[in-house]
Amino acid sequence: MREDELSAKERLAWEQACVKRALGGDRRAFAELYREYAPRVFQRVLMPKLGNRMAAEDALSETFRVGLERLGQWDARGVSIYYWFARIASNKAIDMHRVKARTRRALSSFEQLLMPLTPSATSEDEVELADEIAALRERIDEVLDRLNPRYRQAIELRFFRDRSRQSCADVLEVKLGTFDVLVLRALRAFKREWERVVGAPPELREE
Amino acid sequence: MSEHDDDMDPDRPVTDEEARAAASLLRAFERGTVDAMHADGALDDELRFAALLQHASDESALAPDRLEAILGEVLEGAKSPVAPVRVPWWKKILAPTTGFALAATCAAILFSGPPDALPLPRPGQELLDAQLSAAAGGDVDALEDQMAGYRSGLLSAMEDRYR
Repeated sequence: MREDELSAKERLAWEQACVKRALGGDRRAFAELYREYAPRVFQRVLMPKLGNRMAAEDALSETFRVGLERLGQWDARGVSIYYWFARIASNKAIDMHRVKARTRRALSSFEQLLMPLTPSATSEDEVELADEIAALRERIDEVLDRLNPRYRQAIELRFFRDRSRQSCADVLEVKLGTFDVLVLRALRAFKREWERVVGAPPELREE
Repeated sequence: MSEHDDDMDPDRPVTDEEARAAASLLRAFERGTVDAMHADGALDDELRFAALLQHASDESALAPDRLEAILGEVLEGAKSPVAPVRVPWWKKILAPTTGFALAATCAAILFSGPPDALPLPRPGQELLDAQLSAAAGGDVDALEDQMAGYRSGLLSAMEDRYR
């Protein structure tokens, strides 16, 4: 189902029908909710909070497992179930940060970097995920325009093209180790320019 | 282009510190975590921006097959959801009403006094004489006749009192 296919009211009715069926033991109904909201929870909540695909996938699985087991506790009150899943996901991410901190392997969140780009932290207006990513790409391009072309190329090759590191190094005509250093320098330059263009991220704070 | 980037040649010679940092960053990026106890702990910012850039790329979305695989894990690992128990309105009223009525009945039984005892009917002179005569070895049948009359009167009185 697509966002623009249903009005908010119809969407809520659809969600409530799915929840009712799922509570009656129909797991296909829960699968419908999962397919609708899991991609958004993954990209909008878990990836920014955890900064790591494997950790985000683990958290996604845990989020929906808990969501299914506690589905009877969901109370619609006129708000989409997405926000209920997002809250569970957010708590899972905090738990994972705590666990990783105890093992001295810190996960790297980039949620703070996105904050200046988010229109309103409390807004429940539906914003398409694709639009969010497009807005982020615009700001990234703005920052990349301010970088040395060599740094820009290194970042584009490494992060936006589906190429191996060796292939990237070949394009830039450097050795593999030198390419890794070029990426490091490019990231440091990118950080400086990001903070000039977008602003410095707020201090990390635990929810 | 910023002044800083103008000043620095991107292809300047690599220092030992940079080579170590680049190797640590690569490890951290592939692992997704920074080791707070080692040199890559200082690379948190670089790792964060690398993750941000990757997030903005097309690769950040969850692939459909991975999405389905995770759904399979969820459905296999989750216990069945418990539906909320909805109590009908009449049950909500019935429980306190029944409780109140029970308590009121108990109180009435406990705090009200016992019923007055039934005074026994007085035996007549004929019955007393028949008892004296029977005790002295006289006619027992005469006593029995008198007692039958007395018992009948007693039972009638009890019936009137407790009916």
